[in-house]
Amino acid sequence: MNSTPAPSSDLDSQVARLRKNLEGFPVGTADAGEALLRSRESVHITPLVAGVLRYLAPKTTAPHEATLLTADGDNLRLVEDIQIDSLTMIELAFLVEDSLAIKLPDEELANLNTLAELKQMLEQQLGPVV
Amino acid sequence: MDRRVAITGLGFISPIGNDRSTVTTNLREQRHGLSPVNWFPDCAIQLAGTIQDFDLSSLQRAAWNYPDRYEIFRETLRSLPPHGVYALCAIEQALTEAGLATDDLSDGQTGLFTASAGSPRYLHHHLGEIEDSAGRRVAPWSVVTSIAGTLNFNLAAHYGIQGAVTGFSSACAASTHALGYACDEIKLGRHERMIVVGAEEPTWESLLPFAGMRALSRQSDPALASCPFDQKRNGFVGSGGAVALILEEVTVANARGVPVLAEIAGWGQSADGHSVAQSEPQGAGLERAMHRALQDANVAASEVDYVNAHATSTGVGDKAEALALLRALGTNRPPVTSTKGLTGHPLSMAGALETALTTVCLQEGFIPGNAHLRLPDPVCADLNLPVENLSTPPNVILKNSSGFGGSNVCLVLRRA
Repeated sequence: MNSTPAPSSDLDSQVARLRKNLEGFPVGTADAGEALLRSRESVHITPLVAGVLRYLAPKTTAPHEATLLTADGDNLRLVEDIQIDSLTMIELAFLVEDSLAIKLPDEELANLNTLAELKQMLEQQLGPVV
Repeated sequence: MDRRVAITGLGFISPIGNDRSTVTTNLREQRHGLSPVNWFPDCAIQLAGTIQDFDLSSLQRAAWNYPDRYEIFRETLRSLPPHGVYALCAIEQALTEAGLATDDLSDGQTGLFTASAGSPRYLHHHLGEIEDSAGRRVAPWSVVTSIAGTLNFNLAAHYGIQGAVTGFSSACAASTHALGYACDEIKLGRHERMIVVGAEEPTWESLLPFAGMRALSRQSDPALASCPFDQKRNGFVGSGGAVALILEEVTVANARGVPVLAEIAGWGQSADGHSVAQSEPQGAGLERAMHRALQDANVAASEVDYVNAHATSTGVGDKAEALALLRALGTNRPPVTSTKGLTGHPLSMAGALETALTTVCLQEGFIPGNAHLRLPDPVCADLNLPVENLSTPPNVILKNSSGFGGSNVCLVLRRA
């Protein structure tokens, strides 16, 4: 996906794909994803990422759930705080790549530390976002 | 002192019920669990033994539905195949009945043996993703979710099992093999407790391949489709779910003060050395397995007062088993039933399901009739094949299973 907007039929099928991938995720996750695909406004990245992480994170990190949507959430560390292990990180990348039709670079993924860095990476890969 | 094997817990997610009391009622009332399936338009296979109260049909686990009383965290769910969910729920029931908590299972004295074909549905899905993306997209959990072994991988990790863990792959004999080898682990003093679980997915991916060898019934009427030993039998009806059993050394169970539901007194196995798919027509291999089981249990053929047969409702298989039984039992003619008329044939889970049903019969003191049997095949005419239930409490039971490659396994169960 880049600066050329996708024809609506492609966009609709991408939205359908995203909705299928995010079926059953916390309420609002798929809506945020669709809004991001359609409007390309970066404001939708936070609720999308928060929803995906709320689903993927182990039960032990539930206390962080509320923080994910706030500015403080940006400082949460994916491994230490949210306990996203290496295979779950791949799962996250797999899900996000397929849903948003982007490719997250493997090396950068391996070095991701905080939630803020994850969101920044998404912005970069989505191309110009408003 | 000889170590003996007790069954102390049962768990059922099955076509005839998702808890022991429902299963017992349906077994007593001969209510089958076979439902119409619409896998493809004009598909020749029209029935399967399906599971109620679970909807695991989505490929997105977040969209799965299962009863609220089972809490499965995402970290466990993420790599579970659908039949892994059934298996976990069945184990939870069995642990409750045996008075055990998850923490008790990490003592190094507890092992886990499993039987399943893996998840053909998820294998198909993940391989499709890989092929469609020309090898670029490979889901991280695809291997441990789908290959044979998925049950033991997932459940051993979930329950923190530190004893022996492995899976069995002798197809329709697999969970009976698992039970037999689990008995050995206990009798040889290697473990005090074994969890045995068999599970399968009643999906088209798991079941339709059997239509390729004409093994499945094409009937739409359950009564005509799954009718073991009947003259008009025409193939089996596939099914699935999960059944779990807790086995413990008898003195360990007694020391914990939990009821012994039944004893597994011995087991035996053999192979036909004949065909990759079909039973040897005279049943010599199965006869050998029964002899070995009786010898292991130190029980005479004349003492057997009930046989729960493997009979799946196929032409060759039921006949071979009938012939094997007539020879193995000598002049003894105990009631023989196949409960597959009610449950369909859940492949590798069959032995676990039928051993659990047999345990229920020992406890409740009845022998189930042969559901759907109208006119026995003449070759089975000398067998004692009751159609109605018998109120005679059984004491010594043979439980047969046979699988591809001619694997035969027989268990001897005893009233506790």
